[in-house]
Amino acid sequence: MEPDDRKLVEDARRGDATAFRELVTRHQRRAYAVALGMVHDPDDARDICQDAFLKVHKNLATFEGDAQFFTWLYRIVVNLAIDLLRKRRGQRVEFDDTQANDEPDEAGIAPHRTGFDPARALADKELRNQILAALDKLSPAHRTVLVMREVEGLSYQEMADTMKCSIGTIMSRLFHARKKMQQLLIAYRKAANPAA
Amino acid sequence: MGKAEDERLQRYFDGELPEADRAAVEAALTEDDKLKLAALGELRGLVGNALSAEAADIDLWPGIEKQLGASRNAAGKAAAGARRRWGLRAHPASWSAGLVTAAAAALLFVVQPWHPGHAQNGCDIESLETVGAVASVIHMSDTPHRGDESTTVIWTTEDD
Repeated sequence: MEPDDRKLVEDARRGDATAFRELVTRHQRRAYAVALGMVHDPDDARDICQDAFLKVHKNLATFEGDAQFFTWLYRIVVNLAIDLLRKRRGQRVEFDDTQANDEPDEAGIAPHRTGFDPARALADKELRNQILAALDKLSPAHRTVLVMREVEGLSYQEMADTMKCSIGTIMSRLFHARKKMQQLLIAYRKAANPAA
Repeated sequence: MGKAEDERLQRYFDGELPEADRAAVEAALTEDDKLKLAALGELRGLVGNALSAEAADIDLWPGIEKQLGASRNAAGKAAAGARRRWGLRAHPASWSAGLVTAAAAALLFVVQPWHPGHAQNGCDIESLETVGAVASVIHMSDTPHRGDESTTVIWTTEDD
């Protein structure tokens, strides 16, 4: 049976490099997927994750035993990604929802699929690029909640804690992010296959 | 259907409704709602699979290991610098050997086993220097026993 994260953290605290490496191996893909979804650039995502793991290593002594290791790591990843997005946007208030909601509120989730098979996204690089490009068109606030929810399955409360906002704000961001994402993928689908 | 209903449907989809509300939503699901739920599920699959596939081959450990090694080296150099500022060499064995030798020499000088009749002898260690642990100098004077006479002991330690 594999040791749980808590045991690995305890061993890593005592200087066991193998234990820390196991933590990295175990969580790097999820961390990278989240970072990539937020910043879109593979090199930036890699740097963010490396920095996050180094911060974790440096602060192992402060890790609270009753917390989930990945939640801790994940918050660091998200915060580093948000910092990078802020730098890119020249300190603009891009997390203000008022400028991100460019669709009328009455327009809801469309009751039809985009037509793409999700399994295809595992093997089709072109489709993946389109999905990543669509994510990049969302506001950072919307992209962040969408990735947190769809990749990591964080609860509304966990997302609210991470982004330091209310659950209502999270729900609104998620709603608009999904709606926008759906529209972008449907548009892409129509452009790629006009007969569909 | 308006935004409020869609947000409620979204909360149902995300498992964020209390059980009682969840049952109520399920009981009232329309065909339109079911299509929207299917659309939400598809979107989740697309985003999740795309990002997971992009992350499949990632290996962060070499970069992390390199950074950790660099940090350790930097910490080691900082410690060595601190030791140099205190006149000690980086290799602990070299300067600790010098200190042990100095302590033994001082003790011998105080006790003077070759001169048992003078238990009251005292000495002052005027200086103790370890210079790069290559040579160490202890300068002693034994005023009660030998007047103004002073003795300097010089020894060398093996350089690393």
